[in-house]
Amino acid sequence: MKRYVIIGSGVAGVTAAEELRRRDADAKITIFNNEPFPNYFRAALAFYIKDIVSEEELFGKPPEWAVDNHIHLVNDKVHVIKIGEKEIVTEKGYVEPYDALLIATGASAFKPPVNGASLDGVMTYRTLVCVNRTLDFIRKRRAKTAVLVGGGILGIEMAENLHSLGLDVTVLERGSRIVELLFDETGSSIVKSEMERDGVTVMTSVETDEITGENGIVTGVTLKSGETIPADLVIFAIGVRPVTTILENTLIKVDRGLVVDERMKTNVDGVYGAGDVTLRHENGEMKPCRTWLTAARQGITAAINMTGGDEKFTEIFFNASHVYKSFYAIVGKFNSAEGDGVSHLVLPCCEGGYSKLVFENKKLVGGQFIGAIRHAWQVYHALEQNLDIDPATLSIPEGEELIKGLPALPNHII
Amino acid sequence: MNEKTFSEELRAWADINLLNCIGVDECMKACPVADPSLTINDLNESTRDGGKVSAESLKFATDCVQCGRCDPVCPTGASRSVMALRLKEKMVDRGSAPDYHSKYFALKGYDKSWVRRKGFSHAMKTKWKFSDRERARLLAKHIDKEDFAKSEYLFYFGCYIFSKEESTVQTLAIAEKLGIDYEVLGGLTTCCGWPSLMAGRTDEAEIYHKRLSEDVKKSDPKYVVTGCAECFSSLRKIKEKYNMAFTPLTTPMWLNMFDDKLGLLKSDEKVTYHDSCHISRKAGLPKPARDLLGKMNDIVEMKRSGAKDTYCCGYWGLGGDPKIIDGIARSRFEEAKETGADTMIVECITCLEQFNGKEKENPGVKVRDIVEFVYSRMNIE
Ligand SMILES: Cc1cc2nc3c(=O)[nH]c(=O)nc-3n(C[C@H](O)[C@H](O)[C@H](O)COP(=O)(O)OP(=O)(O)OC[C@H]3O[C@@H](n4cnc5c(N)ncnc54)[C@H](O)[C@@H]3O)c2cc1C
Ligand code: SF4
Repeated sequence: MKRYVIIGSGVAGVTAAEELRRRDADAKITIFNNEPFPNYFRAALAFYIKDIVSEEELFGKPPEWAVDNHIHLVNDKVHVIKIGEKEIVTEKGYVEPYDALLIATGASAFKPPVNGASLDGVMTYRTLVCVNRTLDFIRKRRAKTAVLVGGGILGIEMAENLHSLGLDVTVLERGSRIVELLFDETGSSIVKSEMERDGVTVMTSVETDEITGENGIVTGVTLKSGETIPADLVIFAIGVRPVTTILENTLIKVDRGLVVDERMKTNVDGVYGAGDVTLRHENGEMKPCRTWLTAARQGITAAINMTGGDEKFTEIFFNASHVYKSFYAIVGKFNSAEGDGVSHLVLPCCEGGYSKLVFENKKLVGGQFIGAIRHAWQVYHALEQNLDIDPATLSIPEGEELIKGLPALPNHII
Repeated sequence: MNEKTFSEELRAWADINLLNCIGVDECMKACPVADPSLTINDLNESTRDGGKVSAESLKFATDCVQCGRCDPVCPTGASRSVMALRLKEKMVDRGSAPDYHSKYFALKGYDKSWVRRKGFSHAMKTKWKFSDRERARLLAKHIDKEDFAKSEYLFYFGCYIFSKEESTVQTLAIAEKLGIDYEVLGGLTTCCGWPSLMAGRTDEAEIYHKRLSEDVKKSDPKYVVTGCAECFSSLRKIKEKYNMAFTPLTTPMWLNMFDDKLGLLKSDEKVTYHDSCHISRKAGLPKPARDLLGKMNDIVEMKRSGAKDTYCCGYWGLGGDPKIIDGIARSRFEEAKETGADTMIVECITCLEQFNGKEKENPGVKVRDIVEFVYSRMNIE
């Protein structure tokens, strides 16, 4: 009987466990988990904050999942990995041997070492624990104003959450525009104007100098320009760092993240990685994971290889979610800039929306969308079927929503 | 031609949607049939390959009317309706599909009951001969027929050729007045496959789709017109799958092509319009019926209307929980009443039959078929 150990019960870890079980009915599968909650929908935390889903509904798997699938789900932090002995040791002293190990420890929110970062009321946004802590703080302190440091997708998401809870919100972005990693200038400005219409303040090209406080509690943020913005609550959303502490004194290679190859294998035999903890070698580039679907897919690829299969990780990148009060989606090479064989096609879509397709040497390679996320799936399917798409043939007929000239999806037909 | 089987295509789509599900629960909040206690994690586990199907999810799979209300609300652009279809399929694989489906097929036809179906058609034709001359004249000869002339228009009536509503006869009466060149496809041998799909029998649906594509080819039409939303979905499906040249049209799309000839009379009476889930939402065509109605009357919209928001008619309840089905229909009548209009127009025969069956329990709003409505306002001669 093969023994598989998975560290981390995020989406990468549990999806890997399911795939392992599908491929090996008898294996012993053990997942170690470091949060007080088993697997949950991290990406639905916004809906929990806005009281749309309950804590119970946030759980990613039914309570019987582990038992039904014969998976040992152990709530205990892995402390040491002993590569030579092929075993792990937990904080509580539990030892578990493995034939193959998957590291799926995810990432944690980054708090920079600025003055005042450890004051009460300075938070991050990653886990159910930190969300509950933030909600408690708002209630107890009757917080009325909040500053979000970081205008990336999570900063904007938290800005929306707090705004909907009735707080006065200011977003500070160091760069010249918000959600820069996802959208071009048009996309960013659509999001920004939607926020401003709602009364959320967005400041770009500003840098945080320090956090001010009184009696150990936060009172505001001082910018490099000298200006101070008063705040009852400050949230850092300036990016994440792969959780690699347990790998520090091992031979497993870490370089700003757990380094894996295309088979999700690390440099050590029998040790694999998946999800936000990884940096993946691909065509000479180092790629982070960052998104839910990619993490799940990496879990599957890792599991296939752990069970003796031979599978390279390839994906048509797809990420869709909500940005401020709209839906968005980005597909494939969504952010290639124009020029050098790359051309863009912007189609008229919906009010306050954006639908941009990216072509490389006349071949469809991706797109970015706000509102019109069905278009994104149409593009995804065109890429999946490797269709030759001539931009000149694409249009949206009057009164219709879909792009004519791209494949329809099963749910448009059935 | 698309090489994948229908089932493979659905499964691939359901699989990626499941992996991509971030658990925000919006689909279940939009769903008219899901019990509020049903959680996404239970549903996903029940749906995924290898996952255990819970009793709650099984009931949900039976009740799901495939209205697609769950689809536009998902921030990942996933389609819970397709995932639900996959769950229905799983229910069949496990042998736990409820038996009302087999009763339905005994009548509506699968190959096994060929003899019975022929008998049914014959009985209907005989009945019409004595009681309904228009039906005998216009419809009887087309039922389950084998030979077709080449024609520009094909009216696809499928199993609703037997419907007691006037829609079929009036459609052909209008076609004759317009003097267009047409053929008719209808009867139990040309099922669109929808009942099979609702029962999770995708392989059966595949057979029906194939046969439908062959039947359509026989008259090599430029346009195929249908007054049933599910038939319309199947037509769009076979066009895509078998790379066919015809254009599928709903009856309003067809009638709009002739609006200058119909001589439609205007009226001040306000009417409201019930969108079909399949036409307005899934096919994204909320406009044609409104354009047509707008030529005769002012439309007052219901609270939930249009492509994103329209609400199911409750279907004809192919075995779903009757309490749920009745409740859905009732809420539709109530919304129609709130508009202040006395008349609710529908464009799909399924919606029509469903509402007509519930009109007595929900007085105050008259339900009318768009074809019948046009027919009563035409001024051709
Ligand atoms: C608020 C928020 C919203 C998001 N929204 C979206 C979205 O809408 N769409 C999208 O695609 N992505 C979204 N993301 C990103 C997405 O959630 C992540 O990419 C994904 O969750 C990564 O999964 P993972 O399994 O790699 O890591 P994680 O989910 O971080 O799971 C790793 C787990 O490992 C555990 N662990 C770590 N060390 C140990 C140890 N030593 N022993 C035992 N256990 C350990 C951790 O406690 C954690 O539970 C969002 C992220 C956040 C924070
Ligand atoms: S298709 Fe309709 S009934 Fe089925 S899950 Fe979606 S909303 Fe519910």
